[in-house]
Amino acid sequence: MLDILNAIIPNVVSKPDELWVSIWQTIYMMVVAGSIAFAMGMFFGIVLIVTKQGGILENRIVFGILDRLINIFRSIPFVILLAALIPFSRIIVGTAIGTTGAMVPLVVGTVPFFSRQVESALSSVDKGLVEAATSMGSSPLGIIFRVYLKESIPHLVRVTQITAISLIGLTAMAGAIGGGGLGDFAIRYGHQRGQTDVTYTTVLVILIMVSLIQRGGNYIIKKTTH
Amino acid sequence: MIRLRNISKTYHRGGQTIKAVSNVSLDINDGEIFGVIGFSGAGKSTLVRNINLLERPDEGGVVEVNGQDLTKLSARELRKTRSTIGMIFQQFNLMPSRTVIENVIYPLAGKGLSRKEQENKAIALLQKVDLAQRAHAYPSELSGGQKQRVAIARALATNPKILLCDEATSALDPTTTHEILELIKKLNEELHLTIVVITHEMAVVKDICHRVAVMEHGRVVELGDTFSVFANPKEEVTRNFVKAASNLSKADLLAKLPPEQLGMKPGEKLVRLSYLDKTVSEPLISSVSQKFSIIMNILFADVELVTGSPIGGTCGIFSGEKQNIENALQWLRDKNVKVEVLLNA
Ligand SMILES: Nc1ncnc2c1ncn2[C@@H]1O[C@H](COP(=O)(O)OP(=O)(O)OP(=O)(O)O)[C@@H](O)[C@H]1O
Ligand SMILES: [Mg+2]
Repeated sequence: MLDILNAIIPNVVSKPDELWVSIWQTIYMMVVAGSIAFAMGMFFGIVLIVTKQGGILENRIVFGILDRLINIFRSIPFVILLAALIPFSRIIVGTAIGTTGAMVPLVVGTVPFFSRQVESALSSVDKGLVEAATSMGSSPLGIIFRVYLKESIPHLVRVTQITAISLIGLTAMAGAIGGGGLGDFAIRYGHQRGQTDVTYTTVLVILIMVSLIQRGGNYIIKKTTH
Repeated sequence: MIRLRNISKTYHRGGQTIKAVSNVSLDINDGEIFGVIGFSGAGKSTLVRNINLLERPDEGGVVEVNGQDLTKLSARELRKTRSTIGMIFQQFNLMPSRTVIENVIYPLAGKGLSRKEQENKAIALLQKVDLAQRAHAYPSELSGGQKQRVAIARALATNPKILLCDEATSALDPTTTHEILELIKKLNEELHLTIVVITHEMAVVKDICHRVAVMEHGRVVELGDTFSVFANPKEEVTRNFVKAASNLSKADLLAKLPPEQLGMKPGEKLVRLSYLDKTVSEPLISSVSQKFSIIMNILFADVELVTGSPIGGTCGIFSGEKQNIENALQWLRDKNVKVEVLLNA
């Protein structure tokens, strides 16, 4: 077995610990940055929906500001964001390098995209349902949780999948500023030292991650669609 | 009792102003089924959505429900009052991710009932609308009529005194429409519910409404008990509704033909008689023929029941002595029959 692996991926077999570490680093960035971005994106997505014209807490000013901020941040390419946010990372998490240093740009790079996705998921909820809930005396908070979120679970899961998969891409790019993780691993060995087997191994690992995200999500979607 | 005073609703969209409702005042009595009829865009929905403040009236409007001016309530009090006003919709608006019973339980959350009590209540309501056996189905598995029954059960969950129905039967076929209307009538009688029914179908008003308001361009143009409004329509819109629902309107088409084609001889008249009184028990046609020795050749008759009383009339050709025909028509007018001479041959 080892002989076979040695024959096809010699450069990976020679440093299994580094592979493991980089896998864990990627998972760590995904989970931490992902959770924070998920919470913030949900929040902003909900704020967008309820403050929109005709929304249950219509508010032009809040909507206008948030809407524009999201557009601005979405238009900044992630590599530039990585560089631009270095001073902020230092202030917020105390460092601008390593997996921890990558958190701030990862969150900032994901939240605007995810907020929009949440907004579109929630706006697919039939306005009639919101109206019915209002007529039954539901409070705004009740409508958010018991109508908007409850009714759009499958849609929200789908946009979370999409965002998580794009976040994997961002964690790989964050490797460029020494963020660690699979991207960093592939660049240092696969790209800079020409160890193509390392590159292909990281591709394989990332494919497995993507497929896990898709399977998990599809399972929930299936369970919650009626 | 619902008292609406000076209700106007103006929408501002992209520099344009649309006056959806203008200066409507009306009272809806406890326990009655009140119809609001009008063509699309007349402002019916907007008016009725003012009753539970889904839309707020413009400055100066008063929405009083059981003596309480809803426009003056805090958001919290308003929510509490809203749960005493049930509402059902054309598109049913059931939550697709919840089963039938969960939909009915929805408005019971936070009302201090245990899960078991909520379920019992929901089952009792579903029995009332004859759907208890589908309690665990999802809305997507139900027919339109069944969905509306669930929506009715849900609207009743908080024991409202008022039920607002916005085109509740417009998405249903005639048989199902009839079933739902019967159910609404039953609820009105058994629970003494005050019901407001919005519709653009004359048939709905005719079947169940005690009183009706006819709306056009945001105004209530006619208001009264259903029979009088439709027996004796004063406004063009109302006449259109009556016509659309009645065979007698065909007479207008006949009147456009040359008399010979109807087989009319000189001196004969094509006449439409419409009954304005609730009592057409007297055999008018045969009496008038005998009394004035004329012949009425009936082309068609159309008598419908409006909330239990006959409404409609007869269209036919009168032949006989000129003076006798005149006398006969006058006698009918005196009997409170509306007489229209459509064609003189
Ligand atoms: N939210 C809104 N914004 C702008 N205009 C509106 C709004 N709601 C209704 N209107 C306008 O107000 C008028 C009355 O609408 P409404 O829905 O009350 O009519 P309706 O009698 O219920 O008609 P329908 O039979 O088609 O339901 C229409 O011209 C409509 O375009
Ligand atoms: Mg309407």
